[in-house]
Amino acid sequence: MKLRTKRAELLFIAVVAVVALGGFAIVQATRGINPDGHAVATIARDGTVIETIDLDAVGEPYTLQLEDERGENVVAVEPGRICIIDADCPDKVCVHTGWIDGPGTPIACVPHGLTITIARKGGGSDGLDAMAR
Amino acid sequence: MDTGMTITVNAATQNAAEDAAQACEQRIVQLDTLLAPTGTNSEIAQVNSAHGKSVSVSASLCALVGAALDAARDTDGAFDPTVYPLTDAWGFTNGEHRVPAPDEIQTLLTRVGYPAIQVDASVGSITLANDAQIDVGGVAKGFAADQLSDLLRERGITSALLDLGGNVTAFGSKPDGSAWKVGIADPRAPERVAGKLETHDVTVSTSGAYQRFFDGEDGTRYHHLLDPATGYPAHSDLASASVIGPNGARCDALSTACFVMGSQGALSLWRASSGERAFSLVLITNDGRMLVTEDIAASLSAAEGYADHLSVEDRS
Repeated sequence: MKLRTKRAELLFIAVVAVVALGGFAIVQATRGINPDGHAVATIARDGTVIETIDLDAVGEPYTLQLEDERGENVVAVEPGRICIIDADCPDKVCVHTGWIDGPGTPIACVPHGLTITIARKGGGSDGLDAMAR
Repeated sequence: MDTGMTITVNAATQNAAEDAAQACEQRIVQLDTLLAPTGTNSEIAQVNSAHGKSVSVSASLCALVGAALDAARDTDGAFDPTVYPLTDAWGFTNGEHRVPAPDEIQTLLTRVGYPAIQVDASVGSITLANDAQIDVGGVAKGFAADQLSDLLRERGITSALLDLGGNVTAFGSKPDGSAWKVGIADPRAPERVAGKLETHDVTVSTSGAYQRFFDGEDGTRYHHLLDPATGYPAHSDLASASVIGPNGARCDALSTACFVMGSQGALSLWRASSGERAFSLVLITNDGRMLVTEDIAASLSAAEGYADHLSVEDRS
């Protein structure tokens, strides 16, 4: 029982610290700047970009292991879309988000400080700016 | 706030945009400290552990709890921030999910009831009677959106988009003057769009059972939107409720309340709200229908699968 309480506290600290350190992606005026109509995914840890992937240039599907002292996320990349398929975080909110292919829904794993966003560079005017969810 | 956030600011210069976005980030970090579930700098943690004593708090927390209390009164407790002891018992505060025993739920329910909250904004204090504790989760994102909007307005920004964990604020309009396009998630497949709103100067808050849930050992799926009357996840005819209006904190709280109340209750509340309290609704039922209030029907385009099951609700 004691162990369980301790684990709960640790989880709390992790969540709070991540957000306080900026579990946060700031995207500034990305719309309509690039003339090419590509979906570009940005993976950031604690708000710092660690990987950008042009999803429209992906040929064969592949996976990425992203790991730090907080835990692991497995990212799957396919032509035009991206997803977190596995993670060892408590809530698995990131895994439940599923595949994303446009700017509407970012993926966030708050316990690990990880975010994945997609900017549709120069996309059609039908695109969404954000998704209420 | 346990969530991912994206802030997009459009300004005349890159510097002005970065400066405004940075100010927003700082404000979020401040609010996050005030609202953290634990920690010596968390005002909400102090209020929740005061055992009936009056606690001096910042104007921000007074305003936030005031907004929550206002929504609780307005919805007759369908939204009730004092549901915290139950949220905690179900493990939605820390991810240690479990199904509390019926007698545990009954005991905790005696501590739920918003009349226990006393906010004295003139001296800046909050008192909780009846061993109550406050869950700010239902208003925090919307409240933060209002605070960031104030900040952007002070800086003369006229175009920004705030996505605070799925709570979307369309601030002003797009740089080219056109409306923001905000999708409403399909509760059956949340990465898909059920409808698209073309809008400006509003917050869109959605509450749905799909957002946070766990599967119990009994095979039942339990979601995070607890009915303050029963202590169990709310069962209504709704799969999701989206509230659209100028006041973010109110939208956030009302989306929870509308989900709990169901379509008839939500529409009654909409019909009864006018002037500063007015808001609009997009409701998606468990059987796949979409109900939209007439005041925003023209700016909503329903996606395939919902377009044939769309009904526009009027004031009568």
